[in-house]
Amino acid sequence: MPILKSNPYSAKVMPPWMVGITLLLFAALVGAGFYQRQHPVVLKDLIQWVPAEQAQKAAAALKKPILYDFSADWCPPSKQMRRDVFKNREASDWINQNFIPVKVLDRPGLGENDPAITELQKKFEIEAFPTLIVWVADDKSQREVGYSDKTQIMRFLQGELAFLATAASSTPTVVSTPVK
Amino acid sequence: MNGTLIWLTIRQVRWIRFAYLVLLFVTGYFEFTNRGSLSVHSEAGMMVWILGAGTIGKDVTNGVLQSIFSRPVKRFEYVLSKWFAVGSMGVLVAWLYLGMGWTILFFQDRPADLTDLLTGLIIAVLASFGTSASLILFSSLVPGFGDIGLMFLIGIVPTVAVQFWHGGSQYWGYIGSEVVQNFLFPAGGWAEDGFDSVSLFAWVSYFFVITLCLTLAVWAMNRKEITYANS
Repeated sequence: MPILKSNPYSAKVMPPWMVGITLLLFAALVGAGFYQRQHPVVLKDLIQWVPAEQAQKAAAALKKPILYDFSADWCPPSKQMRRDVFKNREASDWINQNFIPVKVLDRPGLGENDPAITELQKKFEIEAFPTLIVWVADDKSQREVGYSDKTQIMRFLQGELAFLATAASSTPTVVSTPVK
Repeated sequence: MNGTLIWLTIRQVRWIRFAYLVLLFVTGYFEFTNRGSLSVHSEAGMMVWILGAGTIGKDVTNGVLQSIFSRPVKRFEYVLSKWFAVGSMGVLVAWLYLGMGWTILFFQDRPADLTDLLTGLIIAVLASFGTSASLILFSSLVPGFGDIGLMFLIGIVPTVAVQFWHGGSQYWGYIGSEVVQNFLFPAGGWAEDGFDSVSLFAWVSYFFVITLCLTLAVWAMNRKEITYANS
């Protein structure tokens, strides 16, 4: 390799250790890619997500609306929203208290979608990620599409809870103190 | 690395660049006020762009390279010193920016967690040295401030493609956009996911991008023919 055969005393020397480290890291990168394919990373946040199939039962029992989070691990705005909102202690505590949160991940681990996920995406006519949907009944769902920061999400969710509390006066919903 | 070259790079930064940094700090004030969370990844990258734009390219157009290489300096030493100097300046300014954010949140009665602050400080280091490496590569390829233009062009293509791509889903558009972003602003997946969810792949790809950029930059510098006749 002429790149490594240069005169070590020349000003134009290419240090072999630089080339070596780069090649070594390239090999490690390929290895890490294969490893990650077998062992996908579980992305953590502070929300107590409920499986989609149990959500309606839990919502009926606890008299809380369902909060669907349609997002994707490969989508940068979804990731940013997870960091800014779902990993925030105040916001996640408040969401856990007032909603039945359900995460619907698109193509987790870059694989194919489960038919149940595709069905939910079709039912709610999801066109972009992330989309948040507050659901109480099929004719009473509201959505927030695209990335929103903590303040915007809290404003949207508090507004929905307040609206639901006034609308369903026969079954009042208890709204806890909102987060700043 | 060469201490004199590092100091020279720092001294080459013109005051006008600090005016751009002030603008970034002003927008940062509103960001921190509205968002209420400490985040510094993309800002650290921009700070490196502002401080390090044309760091090698300007040496070429101004004829400084001839003076530098007339001394017993190896070209790879020059590249590594430039990378270290630009990265260090980025770290210092990003830490100042984080300090401003922390102070704002503190006086708004919603102080940031110590973990968030520590994460921010580490991300500032990783993002600054990562972005510095890709900037050095582009700067070694084109003269003047061409590096900024080149990075802007490369960065904007997938972003525009995602907006106009309506076939099926935007899945591949986002993937492409992320790959380019990770090349232009290498900081692994820490910015979005935090340190508890970072993949092994993200760690390895971060260090790979840095070494690849620096190796290519050294290669590009070694191929440059410098004439002393007209200077």
